[in-house]
Amino acid sequence: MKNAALFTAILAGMLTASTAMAGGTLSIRLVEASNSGSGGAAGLGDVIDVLKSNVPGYSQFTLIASGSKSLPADGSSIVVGKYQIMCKGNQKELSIEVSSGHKHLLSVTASLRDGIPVIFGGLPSDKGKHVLVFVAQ
Amino acid sequence: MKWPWNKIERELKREALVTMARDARAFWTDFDARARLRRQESPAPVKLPLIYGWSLATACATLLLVMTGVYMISGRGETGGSTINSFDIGVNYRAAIVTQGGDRQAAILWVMDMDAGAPQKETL
Repeated sequence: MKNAALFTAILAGMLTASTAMAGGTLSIRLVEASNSGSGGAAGLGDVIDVLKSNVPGYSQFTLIASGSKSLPADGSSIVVGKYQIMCKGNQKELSIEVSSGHKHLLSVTASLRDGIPVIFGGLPSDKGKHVLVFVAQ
Repeated sequence: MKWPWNKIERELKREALVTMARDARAFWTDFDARARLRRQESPAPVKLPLIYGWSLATACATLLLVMTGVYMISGRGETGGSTINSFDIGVNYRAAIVTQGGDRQAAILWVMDMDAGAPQKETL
């Protein structure tokens, strides 16, 4: 009886570990790229270098909103700022749909590596452009 | 000088007897106490039944395979940058550029002159 309990506990532990290993988190950040203001890069420390070197014409990057989803994504939507973002699939084959109001703006299929961002930019905003940053961990 | 060995021997024996002798009452009390003790077997070594050993080994091997498969399918174990495999833009735009940027190989989709206020474009 004691051995059966031990056996069950070990199996449960391994199952929990495998579940934790399989699932990740997708962070979604809405950033405004502009040339006005002196906003810092709070909340963008891990991606600010990528943004500065790959988004020409803008010197300021400000975090507007953020959200997160667990991976694999189940196809439900999340609202980040004024955008509705639907994610479906796992990290290797993730479908992302971005819409604003009732307008479908973008559909993208991407493969995300741990900690390496996927960035959608060029969305119009009042001060410059909106940039969506997706990072899986 | 001649030592009285016989006398010395007798005295030594008498002293030893006094030292080792036990009180009869104490002896029988101890005897009764020991007689009342239950005999106890020494604990046998705990041995996991073979069925559990094989089950555990099989479960570990299966779990290892499953974890490896999940790790590969999820793409978490792969190296290199993130990539954009396909995209569709639902509104009017002038151009779209996909690049890999930075040391960390981020994937970037930049849409130029996106008309987010325009009517939704049909996608074929």
